[in-house]
Amino acid sequence: MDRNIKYFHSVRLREDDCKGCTHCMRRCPTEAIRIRNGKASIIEERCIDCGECIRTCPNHAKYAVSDTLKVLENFKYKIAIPAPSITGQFPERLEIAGILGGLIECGFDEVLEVAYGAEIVSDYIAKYIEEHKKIRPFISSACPSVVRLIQVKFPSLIENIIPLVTPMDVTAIMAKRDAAKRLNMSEKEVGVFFITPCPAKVTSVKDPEGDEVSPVDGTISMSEIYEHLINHIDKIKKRPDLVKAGSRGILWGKEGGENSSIRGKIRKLSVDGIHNVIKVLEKVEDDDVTQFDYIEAQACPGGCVGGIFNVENSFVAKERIENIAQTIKREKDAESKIADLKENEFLLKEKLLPRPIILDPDINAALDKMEKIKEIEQKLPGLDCGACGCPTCMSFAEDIVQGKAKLEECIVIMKEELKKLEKGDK
Amino acid sequence: MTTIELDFEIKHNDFDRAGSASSGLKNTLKQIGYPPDIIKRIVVSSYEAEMNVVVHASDGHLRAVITPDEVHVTVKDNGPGIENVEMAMKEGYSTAPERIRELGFGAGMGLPNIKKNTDELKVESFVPTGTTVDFIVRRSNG
Repeated sequence: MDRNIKYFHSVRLREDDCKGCTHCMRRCPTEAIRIRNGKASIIEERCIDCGECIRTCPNHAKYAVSDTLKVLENFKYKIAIPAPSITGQFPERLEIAGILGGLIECGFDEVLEVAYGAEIVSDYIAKYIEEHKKIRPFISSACPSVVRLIQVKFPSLIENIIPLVTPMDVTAIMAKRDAAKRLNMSEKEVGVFFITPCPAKVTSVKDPEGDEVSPVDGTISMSEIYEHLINHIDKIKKRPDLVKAGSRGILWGKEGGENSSIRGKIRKLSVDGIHNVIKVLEKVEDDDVTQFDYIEAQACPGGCVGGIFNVENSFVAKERIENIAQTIKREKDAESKIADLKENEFLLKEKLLPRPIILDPDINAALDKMEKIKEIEQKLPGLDCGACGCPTCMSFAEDIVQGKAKLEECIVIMKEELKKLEKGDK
Repeated sequence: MTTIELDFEIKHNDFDRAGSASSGLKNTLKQIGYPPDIIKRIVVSSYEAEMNVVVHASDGHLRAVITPDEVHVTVKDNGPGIENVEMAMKEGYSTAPERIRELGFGAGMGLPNIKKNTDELKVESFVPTGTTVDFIVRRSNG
């Protein structure tokens, strides 16, 4: 990525469409949005690309970027690796074989389901949990927004994140290695593209945590694939030969699926929706849920089916995945792997680092600032009305101390000042 | 040297609000930039102390004094006091009623857990006037 910017973000603002209302600012789980000069602005250090603001914006001013099918041109051999949630996006009659056939029609040479990699990863998660008893609970590393949420807001829980690569990464490594070998090509000529349900995955490919470079070469949004296929789904050539995943992997596309795919005597908790995830992480911080071995935590309501690039209603998509999973009799075993990964390839290459939001790097200065914040807070009405452009009175006080806002921007205080003036006139 | 003082109310038997005092302390420490592992020790301790008041005692307060070097937490309630502080410091000793245990509290790990996580701990209790749990966690693990 371009090292001039500190963090890549998929979530963006279309300024012309922004009316400066406070919906996104109030909904943001990391207080990453301010309204300045009548427009929303995103604080890049705080943003975790969860997409809550896109979901809540009434004016569709927030959006997310991904690559487009054009990037396929840069590679000799193109492989699509669709997220498990793709299973819920199309009418049942298309079947998984039809979805994968449709991807071939979009211009890919080959398809490997991430659901397939998910089954292999599930077994490694179980193994890792069994072999590492000191940390409880482990938290899934699969949702990039949750990983970033922990880095920003829960730095003490970094070591609870299970240090394993995600199903997307494993699938990409396997697909690329296998194709390069089979076709006698260099791995550089093989492009692997993730069909993504969410902007956070776009970010995790462009600017990965836990590895210098992502094994994925690009991301295509689920909605772009949907647009390409939906109008002619009855003409799509079904490709049952491409279907490799069993029901375990497919269920990863919805909340609870990851947990149900992890076998063995492991006590698991599942939480979805970023604000719910925050509540559970608070409990982990308090050492209050050590009875659990593993937490599947997903930023989107309903799990990946709730990702904002998905088109189908998340409840419908969830039921559809469950329904389709039931019809799959055959269970794939990790033994039928198409390419062998060494055990250490499942581990994150780089340690995850905290990136907490602090008042000042110098603790004395930070304490001084905190004291000032507390003083200013006393003066504020505590309504959290958002009219100043900050999500809460507390964050407004913080912005004043950091020199980013002025006390006069509080309309409640200004109204009182005005009253005083009027009284003085009489 | 700047010090920050925080004061949170604790309501007996109010399980909706339970944990809000230690959560408030935690968020302040995060903003100040206390190291995550130190925050963890402070939070686990203050959460335990707060829950003790919610479950066993009466209304009370959690007060914290934050300096660059240490956090000093005092959790004080208005009774009924602990009959035998020495016993209460032992792991697994609990007087929590069944109703409370069903909620997942009262396993008898409260005070021992605080002891494990703090650099200094003082528990003073008088029947029936109340208990004061006083502890310090240092930033440079002294």
